[in-house]
Order: sequence, then structure tokens, then C-alpha cells
Amino acid sequence: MDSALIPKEAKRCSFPVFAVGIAVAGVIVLWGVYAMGLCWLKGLNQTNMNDYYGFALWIWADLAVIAIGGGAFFTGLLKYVFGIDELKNIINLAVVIGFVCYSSALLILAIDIGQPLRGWFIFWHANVHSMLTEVAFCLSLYFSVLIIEFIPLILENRKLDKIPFFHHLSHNMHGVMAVFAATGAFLSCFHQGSLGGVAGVLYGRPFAFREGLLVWPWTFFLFTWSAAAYGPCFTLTVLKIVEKITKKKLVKDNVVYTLAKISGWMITTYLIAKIIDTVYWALVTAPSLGFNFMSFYSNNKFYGLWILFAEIVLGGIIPAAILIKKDWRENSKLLILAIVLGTLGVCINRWVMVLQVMAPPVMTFDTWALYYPSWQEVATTVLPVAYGVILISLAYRYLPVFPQEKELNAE
Amino acid sequence: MIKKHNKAKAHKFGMVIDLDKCTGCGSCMVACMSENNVPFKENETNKKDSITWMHVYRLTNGKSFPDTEICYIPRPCMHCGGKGDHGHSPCVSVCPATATDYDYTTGIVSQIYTRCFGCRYCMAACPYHARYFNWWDPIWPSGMEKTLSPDVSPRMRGVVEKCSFCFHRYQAAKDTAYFEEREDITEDEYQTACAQACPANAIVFGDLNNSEHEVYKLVKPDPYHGGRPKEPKAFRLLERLGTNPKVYYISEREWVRKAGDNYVKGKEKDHKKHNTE
Amino acid sequence: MSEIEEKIENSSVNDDKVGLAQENIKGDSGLGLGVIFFILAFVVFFLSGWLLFPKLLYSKKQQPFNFNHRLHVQEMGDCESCHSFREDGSFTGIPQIGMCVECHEEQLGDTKDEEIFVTQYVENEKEVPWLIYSRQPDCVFFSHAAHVIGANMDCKTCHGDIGESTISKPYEVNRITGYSRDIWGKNIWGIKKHSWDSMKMDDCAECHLKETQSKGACFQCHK
Repeated sequence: MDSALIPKEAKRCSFPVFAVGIAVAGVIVLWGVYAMGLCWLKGLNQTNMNDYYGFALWIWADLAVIAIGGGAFFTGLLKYVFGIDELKNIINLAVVIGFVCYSSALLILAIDIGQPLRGWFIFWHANVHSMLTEVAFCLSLYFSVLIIEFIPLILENRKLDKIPFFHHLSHNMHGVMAVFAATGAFLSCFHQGSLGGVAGVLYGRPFAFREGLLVWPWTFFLFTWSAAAYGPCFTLTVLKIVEKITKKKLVKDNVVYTLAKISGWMITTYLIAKIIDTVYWALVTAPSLGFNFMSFYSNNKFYGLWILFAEIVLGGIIPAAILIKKDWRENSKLLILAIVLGTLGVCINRWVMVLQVMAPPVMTFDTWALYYPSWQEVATTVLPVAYGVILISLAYRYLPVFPQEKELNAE
Repeated sequence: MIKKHNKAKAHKFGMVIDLDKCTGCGSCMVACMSENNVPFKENETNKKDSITWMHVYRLTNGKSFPDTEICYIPRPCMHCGGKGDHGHSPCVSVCPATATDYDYTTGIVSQIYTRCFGCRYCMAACPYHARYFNWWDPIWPSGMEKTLSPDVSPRMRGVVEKCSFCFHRYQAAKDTAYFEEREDITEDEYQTACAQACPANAIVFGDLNNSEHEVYKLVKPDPYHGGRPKEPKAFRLLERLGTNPKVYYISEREWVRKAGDNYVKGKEKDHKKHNTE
Repeated sequence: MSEIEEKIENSSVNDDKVGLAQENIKGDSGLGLGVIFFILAFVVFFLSGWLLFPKLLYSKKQQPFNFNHRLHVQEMGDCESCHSFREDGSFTGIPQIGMCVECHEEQLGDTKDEEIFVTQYVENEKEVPWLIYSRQPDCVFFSHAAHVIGANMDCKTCHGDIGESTISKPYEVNRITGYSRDIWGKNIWGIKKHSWDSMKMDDCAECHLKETQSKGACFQCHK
């Protein structure tokens, strides 16, 4: 039915099967869109946020998708700037994932604000001292870079490629892609960093506050580093899921191992910095503001030392160890464990740096603020996931995302 | 002529609250709400999304009967001078759209409702929970619109609001001063609604830069340390964070003064956690 | 994406399966047609933006009756005689009917407008529902005392020649914001020739920066 659009010599499931799959994800998208509409029309009273807990589940999702979408800029940097050429076999997937993640992040920001029609104030009346301003500018700019990186792939669709103009356009865009990859990496350093800065500059919130370099708190650098380190984990996780669903091998092992190894060393170096940061904060920063380290992890029903353990050990040390040791990362089960744990690890880190920040009391006579999301928040947070499934499915079906697919699946 | 008026010495308006006098009656909260057109919900059960620019907290010394003691702490916006007292208040520095700013001529932190787009970053930045979000559009009981103050603009859904130290009263006082061709306003001309409403006279308001004013005499702010009180019985909330608030508290009771800040165990003698109930 | 596709499709249908880009290079006739189309479209959109848009954006209302400022200034001597300060320094704005009645208890002249005023408002003791050209949005605080007494400014700097007017111009209101057109100014691009041409925040800030070396803090003008 749609065979004319499917890349040559590629096997895809029949259209009805595909349509059913898309429809299932589509229903979830509709549910999310309905919830989003409620938030826009009725206001943020649709959420369970309150004056003590002004950041919702979806803000965590926002930070998390940007972190795991970091695979796009980092893989681009490795391929185009550092010249690791074999990564061309996975870069398309990284770009598609990045596109999904960043478009979702921008959508979430548009839902999150109380007066969406005034959203442009962040650009027009920008306060240059605010980390959020930096986030907004770099995020929008980097999203445009991602669009530019995504277009050539779309134009490689069998049907579109027949149009000479598109064929040449796509070819020429590939030629200058290094410039955009470098720009993307530059912008990413700043928006990933400024997202880290969002929490780190809050000197009224000892749980989040970090000293730093000039105007940038340490979290600024940690966020950039962790997005680069963990982003590839998510890229690989998605690759494994796509391979599982399509029952096909799509990228050669040596490519996967290269990316996994780089990710492993990045996570290791990040962890060293993160642990130093945590220890310094626990022993120097927090006490100087009058807080015991343990006061952030006790006297409440949810946050205990387990979250620190989950973030640093389960989501950090274990995946790092697996990924840097050759035997372990080349064991398929261990590799999957590592990339999944890595993805979860960075998501927990983002949770800690945005949602846990809201929880501990600062005034001595104040109480812990705990929060659970309303269904509208859950639906709008699930929305990007379902949207991502649809977009990645469409891309896989109609675009030559995996250059090695033909070779690996030749009969 | 214009220059003359702008050369007037900078004010630094602040508040001193005597916690030993405060009875926790809540008059300040009521006066504030009616003065500033603060919206309310039909059902105020969930206090965490109610708006109270002035909020009275209750704390105890944590001891059992008969040694139990109670103290009430009214908490308006602290109008922080921020680190180094240069106007980089926790909230002002983070607002992405410049919807809140620090006025160097009065020391007051503004909130501009028509500029705010409701990202709530300032609320996350404020350790005092002095900032409130309008989760709903205000609904006034029929006829009540007519009793709203024309000097304070009502807020719409989706923006943040907070105590303004009744800035419109400062504007009105200045108008009178201009009309009478006076250089400056007097202490009693500009008083906040809460200060005037307090039946126990626990709240005193004035210019911390003016040694004639009562607030100055009560706490003796130290200009070299961001206005930290030199008066030993006076304290500010969360002094260690370096927010440099302009709201001071006074108490004879040591446990009350201790409750104003956090202390690491072992580093400070007689450290106790005091909890609200 | 789909838009581009559509364009391509349309052009290939029209021009015998030749892409738009190539078509321009190929024939002079096509280029000429394109230029004419471009100019035509430009003129249409430019004119509708210049002439039609303001008409759509603003609705017009007439004042209850005409007010002759020139005549009143001649009779009363100056603006302050009617637009005065209260004792607390607040500004009265447009006088209430009590002040007018001091002269207009009965009709003084023979104009239709005065007749409406006396018969409909004075005799019924009803305030005139004037539409205020310079009414600022609700979030704005403006101190006449600071400007007129404190800074010795004249009325004209902000209000222009209204004291010279003999009739009341129509009150134009922005359909989206509900604000008077005098705030944005007559010129749709926001270009102004006189200090009184518009009364936006930027206009206030411009003068404040010049005269006081600071635009001022937000609360200086916002409430």
C-alpha cells in the first residue's frame, strides 16, 4: 500500500500491522493532547502543583528528555568534529531521537507556563541574568539546528529523493553538516549547562545551591557533561528496542561498542566530578548554610539515601564499569543492563535536581512538601513518549535511518 | 526640579515584628488581603494553594506540658537585598522576563503581574514561600468588585503575586508630599496595612536608612553586613543564606531567635529543631 | 514540510512538471510574470496593512456630546481651573458634574451640545460618561503631582493640543486590548513626531531616561 515510500530493498511489516501500532500510540497522544488542552483552557489548577511545589512532573520530563536527547549533539560532535566516522551508522537515529526530545521539551515548556500567550516575553523582555532565559534561547536555537540536521534525512525518502531539487538540497546539506554539528554542540553545552544552572543558582535553596565558576554553578558543567555521557546510552537503548521490535540487526556491533565505550568513559569522568561535587556540597556548602547533609534525606516519607544510591551507584558506577570493560560491554545482556541503568541514572539525577529541590523545608518551622502528579500531568508527560514512538516508527519505516540495514539483512 | 527630587537619599523600607507581642490573631493577614485585592477560593481547605501575602506561622519549643511555649511568626515578603545587599534577591535574579525587580530607591522588590508569564521559577527560588501563584482566575462574590481597591490592580490566572509593602501607599504619600511641595515623606505617612491593623502593635514599619525611624532604633541595622541587626534580640529569617531580608523579628526568648535559622549539630550549642504543628 | 511539497506539486502541475527553481532560470516570461505577481502582492498586502488593518483593529465611539476645550480655556484661563488636585495630592482628572454646574446650572449658550449636557445630565444630576482618551491600562500608576508639581511639566508635553480643540474627536478603542488608541498613538508603526503622540511605557521610559538618567524601577509606574 505504501511500498513506494519505503526505502528500496528494505523489509517492513505490512501496512495494516503498522497502522494498528501507530493507532495505539495515537490514542495515547490524543489522551495527552486532551490533558494539554485542559491545562491551556482551564489553567494550571488542573495539576497537583501548589505554592510549595511549583515544579511539576513534566518539568522533570523536560529536563530528562533533554538529557537523554543529548546523544544527538554528542554523537554529532564525535562524528563531524572528532572524525569518528563509523558513527555515521547511528547518527541518523541520534538526530531523530534528539528531534523528538527537543520538540517535546519545547512543548512541555509551553504547557508549563501560567500564561502561555505571554511565552514570547522570555525572548522579548529577557532578563539576561536568569538561567531560564539562557535555556529558552539556546533550546530554541538548538532545535532549529536539529531541524536542519533532520531535513536531509527526510529528503532521502525514496519518493522525495526523486525530485532533483530535493536530491541536491539534501546532498548539499550533508556537505555542510559539520558546521551545524559544531554549532549544535556549542549550543548544547550552554542549554544543557543552563538547565543545570537553573537549580544551582538557587541560593535560597540549600539542597540545590552550588558554588561555581564565575556566574556558572558547578551544576552547569555537570549537566553538560552528564548529557554527553548518558545521551548515547539512550540512543543505544532506543536502537536495541527498535532491533527487538523489528527482529533485525540494524547497526553493526563495532559501532555500538565504540559509542558504548565512549559513553562509559564519559560517565566515569562525570561520576568523579559528581562525587566530588556531592561530597563538597555535603561537607562544606550545606553546613555553611546551616544544614546537615542528612537533614535532606530524613524526616520524610519519600526521600532517603536510596535516591542518592540509585543515582550514583545503580545509575552511575555500575553502567560505567560495564561500559568501560571490554568483555562486559560486549556481552549483550550486560550491555543492555548498562545502557538502561545509565538512562535511568541520568533521569534520576534530573529528578533530584528539580523535583527534590522543592521538597525539603528551608525555614526551621516549615514542613516537607511532597507531591504526586494529577492525571493531567501524567498524560502530558506520557504524550512525548507516545509521540516519540510514532515519529521514530515513521522515520524507521520511510527513511533510510540505518545505513547498514541493507548489508546486515541481505539474504 | 526633576533632578532635585531624584537626588533624595535612597530609602530602605523595612519591617520589624515583635514576636513577643504577636498574639497570632491574624488581623495582619485580613488587612493585607482586603488592602491588596487578594483573591480567595470558595473552599480554602488546601492552604498550599491559597494566597496569603502575609502569612502567620505557628511554632512551638517542642517541649511537653507544662514547659510548652508557642510563638507566632507573621511572614510578609522579605524584600531581600540579596547577596551583598546589591539587589540580587533570590527571586529577582532568576525571573526570565524581568517581571520582578529591585528598586534601589526604596529597597522594595516589585512584582509586575502583566509582565509575569507564570513560570514559577521565582517561587522555587524563594526560601520563605512568600510568592504565590494564581492557580485560578479570581472570583469575587457578586457586588464585591465594587469594594476592591482601585490602587492595586487585581491579578489574572497564571501569574505570581506577593507582598509589595503596600507600595501604592508610598505612591499616595509621595503625591501628597509633591502637592505640599515637601522634599520627602514622613514616617507616619507611609505605613503598611498590616502594621496599622496589628492590635498589639507588634509590627513596625519604616525606613531602615533613617536613624530617626522606629525600625532603625529597634534593630540597628549594620550597613556593612547587609543590614544584619546589631541589636542582640533582633534576628532575620535564614540569615545564613545571605538573602539579606528587610523584615526583622524581635524576641526575648532564645528558642524563638534560634528558630529563625538552621544550625548544624555540634557546631552550635543548644541546637534544637522546632516544628510547626 | 507539507507546504513545500504542495508548492512543488502545484508548480509542477502548472508548468508541465518543471520545478519552480528551474522554471525561473529557464524563461524570461516566467520571471517577468513572477516579478509582476510579487509587486502586485506587495501592494495589496502593504495597503491592506496600512489602511485596512487599523480599521479592523480599532472601533470608534462618539463622546456623549462635543466639548469645546478652546472656549473653556478662554473663559477659565488655564487647564488647572477644571483639572485640579485634591488636597492629598491626587489628581481629579475629568471634573465631575458638580464643578460644571457652578457655571452651567442653566444653559449659557445656544449650542446643541450644551443643550444635551444641561437637559440630560445637569437636570438629571447624572455624571457624564466621558470616554477618556488618555486612560492607561489598569496596571499603570501615574502621578500627576510628580510631573506637574514635582517636575514642573506642562500638560501639553503628554496631552498635546487638546486644550485647543473645539470638538471632541471620536474615541478609538483597540478591539483586542480594550485600550484607547491614544496610548499606542495614531501612527500604526509607533513612529512619533511629538512627545504627546503616544503614551506607551517606552514613551515614559524614554523621557525618564533623559530627564532622570534612569528608566526607573517597575513599581514607579506599575501597580
